[in-house]
Order: sequence, then structure tokens, then C-alpha cells
Amino acid sequence: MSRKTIDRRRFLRATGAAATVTALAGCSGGGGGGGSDGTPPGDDVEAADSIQFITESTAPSEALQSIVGEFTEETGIEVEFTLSPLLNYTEQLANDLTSQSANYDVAYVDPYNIGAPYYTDLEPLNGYIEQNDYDYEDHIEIHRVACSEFEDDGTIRGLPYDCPTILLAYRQDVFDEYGDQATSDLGFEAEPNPDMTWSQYMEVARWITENVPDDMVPYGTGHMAAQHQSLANEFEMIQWSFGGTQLEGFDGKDPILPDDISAGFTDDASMQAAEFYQELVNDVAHPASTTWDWGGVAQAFANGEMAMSPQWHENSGLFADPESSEIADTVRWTLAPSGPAENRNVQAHYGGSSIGINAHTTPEKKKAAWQFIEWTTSEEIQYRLLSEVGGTPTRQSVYDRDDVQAASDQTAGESEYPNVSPPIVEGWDLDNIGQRPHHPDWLQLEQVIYTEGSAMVSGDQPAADTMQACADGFSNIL
Amino acid sequence: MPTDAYVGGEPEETDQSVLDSVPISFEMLLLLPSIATLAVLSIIPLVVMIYLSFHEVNFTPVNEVIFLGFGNYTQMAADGNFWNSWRVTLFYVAGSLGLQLGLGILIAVMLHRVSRGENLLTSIIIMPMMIAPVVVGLLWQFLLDPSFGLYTYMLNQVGLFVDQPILANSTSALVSIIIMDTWQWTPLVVLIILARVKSIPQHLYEAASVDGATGITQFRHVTLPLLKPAIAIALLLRSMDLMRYFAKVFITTGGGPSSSTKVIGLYVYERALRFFNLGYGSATGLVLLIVTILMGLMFVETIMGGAGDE
Repeated sequence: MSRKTIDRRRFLRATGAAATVTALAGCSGGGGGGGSDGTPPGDDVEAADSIQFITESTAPSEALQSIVGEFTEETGIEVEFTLSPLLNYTEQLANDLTSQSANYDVAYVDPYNIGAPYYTDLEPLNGYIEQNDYDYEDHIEIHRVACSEFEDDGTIRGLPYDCPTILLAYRQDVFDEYGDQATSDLGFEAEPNPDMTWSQYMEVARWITENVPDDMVPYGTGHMAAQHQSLANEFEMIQWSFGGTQLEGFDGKDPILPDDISAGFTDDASMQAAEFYQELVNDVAHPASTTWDWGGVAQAFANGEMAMSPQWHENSGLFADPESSEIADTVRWTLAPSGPAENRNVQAHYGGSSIGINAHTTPEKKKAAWQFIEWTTSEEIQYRLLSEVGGTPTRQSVYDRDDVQAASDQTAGESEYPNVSPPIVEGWDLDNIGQRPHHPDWLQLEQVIYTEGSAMVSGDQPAADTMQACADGFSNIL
Repeated sequence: MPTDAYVGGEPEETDQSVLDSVPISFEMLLLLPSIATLAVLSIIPLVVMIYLSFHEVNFTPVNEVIFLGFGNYTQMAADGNFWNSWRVTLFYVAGSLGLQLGLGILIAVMLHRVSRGENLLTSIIIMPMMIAPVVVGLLWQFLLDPSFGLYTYMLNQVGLFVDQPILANSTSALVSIIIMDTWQWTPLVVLIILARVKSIPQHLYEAASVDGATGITQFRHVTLPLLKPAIAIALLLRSMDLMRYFAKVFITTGGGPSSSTKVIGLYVYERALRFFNLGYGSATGLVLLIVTILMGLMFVETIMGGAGDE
């Protein structure tokens, strides 16, 4: 009797070969593109006729999806969008990049969640920029520093795309009616302005809570102080402005870190910042602040729950829309208050993102992807995203347009473009902005800040212990 | 097949079937698809998880796999956040199980006594169970919202949570998520217990009545002992589910305030899938698995006793 059997050795050989083929296919990035030295595909490569784009589901990305048909009409390249909330987008993209499977050809690059940990999986764009005479320098400097470059050798991994920024929003109607009285009682200008300090801010907030009738506004200030990334963002800004730091040698200005870094937090300035923030949130602010992330505090401000609040500026459209806001005509913006630090000034918090190409995709896809990101970050499209849905252009040339300049001088309620009503360009000035470092474990490090910070603002942990716990948590991760 | 049972003449030589030439039994062949499915879905991931738990695996530019031995486990033993999550989970599981079981038995016994509209009432009661946990989280987030939440408003009217929102306080936030889960999953316990209550023979109650037993005595000496297997099943199902609890906390509190609602499922998710610390995440996940299995065994052995073996 002859039996068709397979012996163990042959079986292992066969499965080993299959595994090798699978592994090589995996390494080749789902189509042979492989990693990249950043050389753009040559003229002999024809652009693919469809690409995949993954992005956080932000208003500008949704708007981009609505007009992408024009790009397809122009180039013949179809763009499939995957829009997900921040954490889902991060998980999907991180999996894709690290597995090198190249399911996504173009990616929205959050500099802290994606750029810093996975920049080696993003295509270097210097060659593309040079080859296509792309006007990279037109992007305002902070964006080039903060979300395009992750090494200190000038390698560009993404083109600036969008930039929410934390500034201070306040209600003009409250200050129109009670501003003089507050100024007189407190002995300094009570209406928020770029010269206001954090300690003055707390005094004004307390005064409003105690003196302004609840039917006008119940609380002076409200914060994004839930156990969430938002708490970390807000506290970081205050910590920098007090002169403190999360990492020794890092001052909230230059995101590229030296190799040998250690935990900060235990300096006197950080301790003072923590004590200040604990008092602000715990004793002065709207009590629901500890349940609000950035979305919650924006909605509460729109509902008229507080007179002042640090907010991501892209909520300007929400506040100015009478359908979603009870305070539509009254919102004004200014730089966040300054701190006592003598060696630096931080009055805004950077939250921008770039758009990049997956290094593991095929040359054909890369060619098409470049055309898409070049189109998306062009002056014309940035202008349209601003005018149609409230994106935030990163190009100086857009802000130099007459109508945009005129809109930036108007209030958000009057302005055709609510996102330029806040002083974002002033906030992006390197003398005013603060930004997080490009550290591959920043997501995890930041979690230490908001976990311990939550205990602090909930009154469960003293400020000094919180800073020590943050230092210990950072040291464990580093 | 047991060929020694054949008592007739020697069977004639026939060609062997293809099945006879395979060196495994027919029964094993039938089981192969199930085993293969189980291997793909459970065994291989479990082996990979065990492997990862002894390594440092990070998706960073370094991207190296480093053998640590028991490094992740010793780190876990010294990790205060890990133990805090277990402490939260313990309170959460104990509170939820107690409430769900108590309410479940009570409602099931009462439903059994309803003579008209029982089916309608049962349908209404099991409705929460059909809602996705994420939707339940969103629903309760709205109900407890400090600005416009209905429950917050009602509690404020009686002077509660006026100065501090419900989800901003460590104790009330934990109680809230226990209540959320109780609201959603008590109906499952009701269904399990109700099925058992209906199978209790009526003559036992009649005999108890003849002996002078009142309602409560009947419940204690007739109903409750006979419910033991059903209680064990409910405990087993709910405890396993509660240990893996994740969605509602993720939506409503994110583990806060002050990590007071960070259950172990959320902790494992953060380590493994938010920070891509796969080695440490696997080690914590493995501990969760072992604890869940031990807890299940404990319930089966101590509460069900020998009843389940019948």
C-alpha cells in the first residue's frame, strides 16, 4: 500500500519556507517598497491610482474628505479616508507602521503619539521637497520645528497640516458689566490681556465667582482637569511658565532632547506651579473641572458655565455658533497668562500635526502620496479649509491674505473665519509658545502627569507629593 | 471500532478506505477543525502572550525584543499603579457581584409570583442587557453630567453633590460605575435565576406549607438551597465578565479621578495597546487571566459544591 504521507522533516521544511516567504513579504512592506532612504521615486515610476489616508477625525480632515474629489479629478488618484478618534487612530497607525504592512500610505502625524515614537517609519521628504520646489519655508517656523522634524539632522518627516493651540478664551459681556468693579477691587486690569499673570488670573476668577450673579455666569474659571491627556497639556503650560520642567534640561521650547535625560518636577518652580494649579482647580474653578477633558470644558464654556477658561483655539467656531453656544457673540481670546519664570515665557501650548508618507509603501503609492500631501498643504487648500470649516493654516502666506488679516481683527462671532480670531500667530511666536518634547515614550510619560495630577486636583494628594510621584514615574519609564 | 465483538466468519479482505490509511482515529479527525480553530483563536495567542511576558517589547525606533526573564513580573510586583488597579477591581467586582446577585434573586422571585404580564415585565427588565456597553457608558455620562445630567439634577435637589460632581469624587465615581454595571447586567442574573425558580417543583412548597413554613422560611429552606447551582453559574459568568470590565470606565471616567476607577482591564489596555509596552502588558494580562480562572474555580467548588456535577 502506498500512502501519500509527509514526514516531519519535509513538513518543517515546507512550513519553514512558507514562514520565510511570509516574513519576507512582511518586511517588504506589502508590496516591495521596503524602508526608504528618502529618494523620491524616479520618472519611470507611475503614480498609483489609489491611496489610503488615515487621520484623527478632526474638522479639517473631515472637510478635506469633502473636497478630495477635486484632487481626484485633477490627478486621477483616488484617496480613501480612515477617520478615527485620537486613540483609535494612534493604535491603528502604530500597528500599521510597526508591522510595516503599509495598509495606509498617507498618515496624519500627531508629533507626540506618532511622530516621536515612529518617525523612522515615515518617509524622509527632503528629496521630494527639493525635487518639486515645494515652498516648505512658507510654513511658520514653529510648525517646522514642532511637527515636521524629529531628529536633529534636518530630516523632514511630515508637512505641517493643522495646529490647534491652547490660548485663553473669556466672555466680554461679563467684563463689560463687571470689569471696572473688578479692576477697582483688585487693583489691576481685570479683563484678560497678554500681560496678565497666572496669580492675577486666579484672583480675577475668584472675584467673579464671588461677585457676579450666577444667572450671568456661575464661575470665574473652568479647566480641562479630568484624568486625561488634557490635564497634562494644561498643567505643562503652567509648569513651563513658572520655570519648571518635566525633564531636566528641557524648557518647553526645543522639542529635540539630548540623549541623557532625567526626570524633572522636583525643582522649586515645578512645586510652585503644582501648588498654584491645585489651588486654582480645587478651590477656585468650576467644581466639574475635574470631570472635563478638552471637549467637556469647551462645551461647558459654550454653555456659559464660566467667564474664562484655557481652551484649544479650534473651539472658536463652536463658541461662535449660536446653534451650539449660548455665548456666541461674547467670546474673546487672548494669550494665556504668563508665569513668574524669568528665563522663559510660555503663554500658549502647541498642538499641531503634520501629514506624512508611510516609508514602507510602494514607490508607486509614495509618488501618489506625495502629490496628495503637496496638494493638501498647499496655500490654496489650507485657505479653503480655513474658510469652509475652520482648519488652522500653517502657512504664513495664508495669514498675509487681506481677507484673513481682516478676519483676524474681528471677534469670532463677526469673523468669517473664527479660527483666526484668536491670536494664534502671536501665540506661535517662539517667545510665547510652549511645546512638548519629541520623546518616543511621551504618551506614557504624559500619562504619569495626568494620573498623578488628577490625584492632586481631586485633593487626594499634596502638590509636593504629586511632583515627587511624577519624578518617580518618569524615572521608572526613562 | 471494537472488532473483537464480531462473532461471525472472518471478513473478506477488502480495499482499505482512505480514512483507514490516516494514522489518527476517525474521532480525532472530526475534532481537528475544532482544535485548529481553538489553536488559532486561543492557544497560539496564549503562547505568544506567555512568550512576550518574559520579554521587553516596545514599538519605538529601537524596536528590539530583549529577554528579561521574570523582569516584567518583578517590575509588576513593585508597581504601585498595578496594585491600585487590583484594589479598585476588588471593590468593583465585590460590589457589583453582591448587588447584581441580591437584586437578581429578588427580582426573579418576584417575577415568578407575578400571575399576569410576566412576559412583558421580563422583556422590559432585560432591555438594558441588549445595549452595547459603550452606549451604556455614554448614556450614564449624560445622566451624571454636572451641567445637564438628570440624575445630578435630582440628587442636587436633595442637597447631594452640589459642590462636587458625582464623577469627580473618588468614592462616588467608583460607586457610579458599580451602579452602571448593575443596571445593565442584573437582568442576566434575573434570567438565570428565574429559569431555575420555575423548575422548582410546586409540591415542595406545599409540603413546606403543611409543615407550617411561611414565605420567608420557604424561601430560606426551599428556594435558596435549590438555587445554588444557578447562583454559581451567575457568579461565574458575571465575575469573569467583571474582571475584564473596560468599556464603561473608558467612556465615563477614563480611570479617574485620582485613578479611583482604573480597573485592571483598563490598566492592561493602557500598557499593551496605548503605550505598546507589549511585554509588560502581556505579563499583567496573564496575571489577570490566572486570577480570573482561580476565581471561577473557587465559585464552582465552594458554591456549586457537587450540584453541578450531577
